[in-house]
Amino acid sequence: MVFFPLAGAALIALLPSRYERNSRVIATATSAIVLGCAIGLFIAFDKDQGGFQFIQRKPWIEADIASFELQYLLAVDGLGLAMVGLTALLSLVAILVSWNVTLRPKEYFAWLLVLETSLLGVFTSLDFIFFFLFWELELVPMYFLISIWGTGRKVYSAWKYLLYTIFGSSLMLVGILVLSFSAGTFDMIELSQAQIQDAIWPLPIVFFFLFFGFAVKLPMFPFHTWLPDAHTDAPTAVSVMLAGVLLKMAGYGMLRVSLSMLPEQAIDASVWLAAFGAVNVIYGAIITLVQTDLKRLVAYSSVSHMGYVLIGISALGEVGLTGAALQMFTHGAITGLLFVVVGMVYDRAHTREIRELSGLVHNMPVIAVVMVIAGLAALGLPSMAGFAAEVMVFLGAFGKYGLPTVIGVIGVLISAGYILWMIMRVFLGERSARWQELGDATTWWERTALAGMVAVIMLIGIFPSVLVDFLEVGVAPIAARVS
Amino acid sequence: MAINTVAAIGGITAIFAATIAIVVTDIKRVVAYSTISQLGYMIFALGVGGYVAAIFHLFNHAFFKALLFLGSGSVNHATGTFDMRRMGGLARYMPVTFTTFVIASLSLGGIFPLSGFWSKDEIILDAWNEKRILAYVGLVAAFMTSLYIGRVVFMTFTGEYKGGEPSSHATEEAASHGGHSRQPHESPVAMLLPMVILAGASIFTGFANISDGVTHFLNNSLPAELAEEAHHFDFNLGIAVVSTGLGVSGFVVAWAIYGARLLSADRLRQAFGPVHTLVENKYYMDHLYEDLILRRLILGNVARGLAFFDRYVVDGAVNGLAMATRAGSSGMRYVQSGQVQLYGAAIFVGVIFIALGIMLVNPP
Repeated sequence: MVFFPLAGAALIALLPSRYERNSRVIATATSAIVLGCAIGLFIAFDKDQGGFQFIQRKPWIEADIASFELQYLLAVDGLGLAMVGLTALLSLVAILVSWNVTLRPKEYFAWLLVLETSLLGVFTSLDFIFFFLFWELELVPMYFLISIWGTGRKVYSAWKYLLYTIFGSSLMLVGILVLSFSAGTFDMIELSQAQIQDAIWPLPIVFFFLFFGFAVKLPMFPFHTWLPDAHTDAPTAVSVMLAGVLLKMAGYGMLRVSLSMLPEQAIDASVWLAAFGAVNVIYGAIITLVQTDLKRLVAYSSVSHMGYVLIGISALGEVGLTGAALQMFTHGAITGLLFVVVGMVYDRAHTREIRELSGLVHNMPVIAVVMVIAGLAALGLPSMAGFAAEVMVFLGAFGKYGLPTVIGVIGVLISAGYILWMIMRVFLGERSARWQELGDATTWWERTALAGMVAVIMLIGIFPSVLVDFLEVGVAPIAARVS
Repeated sequence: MAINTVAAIGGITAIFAATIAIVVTDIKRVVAYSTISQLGYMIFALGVGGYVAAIFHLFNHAFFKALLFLGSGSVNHATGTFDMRRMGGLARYMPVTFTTFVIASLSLGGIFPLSGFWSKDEIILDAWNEKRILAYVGLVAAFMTSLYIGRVVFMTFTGEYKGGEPSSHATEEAASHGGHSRQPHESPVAMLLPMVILAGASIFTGFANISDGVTHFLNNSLPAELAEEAHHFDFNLGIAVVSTGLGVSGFVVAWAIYGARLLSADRLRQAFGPVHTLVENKYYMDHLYEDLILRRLILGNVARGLAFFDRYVVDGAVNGLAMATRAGSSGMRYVQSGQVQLYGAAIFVGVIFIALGIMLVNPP
């Protein structure tokens, strides 16, 4: 399943140029099959048994002299499974909303599928070296997707994204190597059960190196400035993937690596996590208030919302960690949808300046309604997905770090401000003659993407347990490690 | 102490909102500010320990205030406007709306024996038992209440009809339907029926606590120590007479200004000059919140400042690092010139330095 999108990408790449319009069909079919597999995994996953399931293990490099082995080891637990589901869902959505890409479509869809493979790989590999390989593999399609199909200062943004992330992950690689050689294994399951006492380097430094890679990716203040640039200049589908899935690699990494493998250091660092989480929330939210570009607004709101993941993780309890994991999923779905809607507005109006847009509800009722739904979900309205996650984060963290949690709650208030104000200015207000010709989302691919996302958001909002059950199974061993 | 603060906040809210209700000209705004005022009244009641009275007033208020809003809607349906200056004389055209509206107004004004009288009286009595001065606050608010609602009644329903909204939707519709052009008309039964029912409730719900019905009902829900404290139904003739008297005089003053025009509203407005301007602008609260705090302070300074900080300091550091790297690298580029002589000279200098270093550490 992990490599299936890669096969699809290869097929598209080999497609003769005169059939290049068909690459979108192949891409859609491929990612739809992957989504089907993901749903199948959800059904087949045994929640009562927990732990890692669907294990595929093959030795890859065995080096007797150095007494370690690298292996091809893929499996999912509840947490990984949720992330796989998110990846599969958003990949399909991203491909659907790119239906009309006419610039070099073959490459475009091939890169999107490569991206999907690398993301699935990150969330399923349990060999540290494979984890890192997939983690880095993701940069290749991202660089091309932003710099070729983006808008604005796309090359600058792509470089910034690439360099920033590599900077973080190079430190992470050092951390991975030190940790693995100290423990004598690259097997992430064994690592997360080992008690590492004497490492080559002091463990707090190792923790910092690993964490830094994740902090850049999350992104944590003050390492977040690549995000608004990359999100804003990326094409719609890539913004969806970037905000929806790529940021989640960081939260996943924190749970899977930082907390599981170095629990004592994580406990020491948790107060900083809470503090930076609160800063992320409030700082991101206040800056979001004054953004004038729709996409930049959604991008900065992501910075704010990822702060909740940090706050949830800092709680180190089962509720807080589950909340953080749920927030990762719901933020992926909600912000993904926001980017889809903003992209649709941009496709039609060719501007994202909030000041220029007005009264769009008259021309695009469906898009406006979906925007309102996504916006309300983003600001944490009960019955929508965001609420369930934020409540769990707050409940989990309040007892441990009261002040950061309170600041986080204030962040919800500000998010209501920027979301509602944006909807008021863009969709309501005076009908402008300039936008009379704009049409609504009428094609099947647009409507499928919108309806699917709305359905997922509502489903999780009303029955959070459909997802929380899986997350709890995955998070429980991690919570036990850090308690 | 804390509880007196609650009473003070409630009392201030009640009077503060009542003054605004006296000057605004939009009928729905009067009713809305009246709601703020009455809710202040209830908080005031909680502050003086009148838990039962507060809830009882909330209960009664629901009926007559709903009726007032429906009445405003009915009037709007007929005239196409919410501006009372464009109404007048509607009693003739809309007898049912008029009657029910008057019942609700009298109830709100605390006129015996309508529901508002009973609960308002209880609140003032509780205040009287708690602290005399607080009772006066309640009485002042009661007078203002009947003044503003009396103003609505006389401006809307008495005098000459001022023609409603000049080219409104409602009148156009009326014109196209019946042809009886600009004449306001009574609303249909579907609108009147709820008003009649609510009017009945506004009259009778006040009797619910005469035999301590509400008190018993609520005592089960109150914490034990408060339940004992909650005063039983008590009737003080003096208070009742004074509060009803003030209520009536409020209506009389309203009648004198807006009904009989014994006093000119314009003259009064001029007499109060700056005070009127202040109140008419709702004490500039909206300006304070929207312009000063929201636009100037939060958006203008805090948010813009942070956005600036983000772009030029946080991101500036990142870009600065990139530029420094590039500058450093292009500086280093000149080292690799490819000239053997230069490399030779560098090796020579390096060897001397190493030799010196060794000699310093290990003197011969």
